[in-house]
Amino acid sequence: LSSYLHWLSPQVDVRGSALDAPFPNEGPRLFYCYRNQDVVALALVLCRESSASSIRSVRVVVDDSLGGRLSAGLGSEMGHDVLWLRRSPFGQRARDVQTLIRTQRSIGIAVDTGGPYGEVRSSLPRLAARCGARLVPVAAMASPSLPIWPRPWIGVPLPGAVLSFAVGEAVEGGDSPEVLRRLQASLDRAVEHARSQLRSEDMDPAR
Amino acid sequence: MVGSDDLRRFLVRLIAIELAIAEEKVLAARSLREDLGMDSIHAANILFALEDELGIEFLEIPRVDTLAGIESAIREWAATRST
Repeated sequence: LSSYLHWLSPQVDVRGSALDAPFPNEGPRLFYCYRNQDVVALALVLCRESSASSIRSVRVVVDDSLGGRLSAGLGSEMGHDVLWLRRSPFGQRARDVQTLIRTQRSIGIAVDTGGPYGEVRSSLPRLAARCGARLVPVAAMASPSLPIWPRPWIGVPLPGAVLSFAVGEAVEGGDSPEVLRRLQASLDRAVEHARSQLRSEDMDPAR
Repeated sequence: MVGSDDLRRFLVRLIAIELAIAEEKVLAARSLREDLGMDSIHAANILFALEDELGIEFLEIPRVDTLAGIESAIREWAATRST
């Protein structure tokens, strides 16, 4: 499937602000965060934006899920730096995250891993605060796309698909309810922006 | 190294803060992952907090998903340091 996505990537028509330098090389460290269900579409964005060297400074973190495996396969084929977190042993996985954080690089990581999906969990904003990093929500979706069993919330774009991408407002890390509320609101706005871009193309995002 | 009860109290408080839950839930949980929803980023936060609070670095915790597992890993680390 990742080979199919690799083949598909040059054909996908990208809409949105992906070209507007949302991936700075300098300044505070950034944690790009997104919904699990957007991970395949975001991997395609990475492929299309591969000419931007700043994107290559972002280390993409994926887990051992279907979407994670697809993204890892696609990202690796395109030469991106992808860290694949192993499902077990759990202690090793935690150490992998800790090692990643020590590298001081900007990362891309899902913010709702473990569910409920679509909802910001407290762990990433807390980690961002510990690192002095800012959180930047990103959203991507494609249409038409085909839901894949047994994860129907993950859509695989079909040939001729339009891919919509949006970047939310940056939020400082922290663990207060206010930080979580602001991050959730920023993520929701990015998702809605990506969705409305598809609507304006007369595409049904089916989300 | 702190006493057994002190260490457990410290860990319960630390985990409760990192997971943003009540301390009673930490004490009642058999698995921090399955009962309390701890993910690998939470676990990394706990490891960082142990570094900050106790000066423990590069702690190997095979069973980081249980309170007893973290406690025994710290004790083993302390024993290694004292020999």
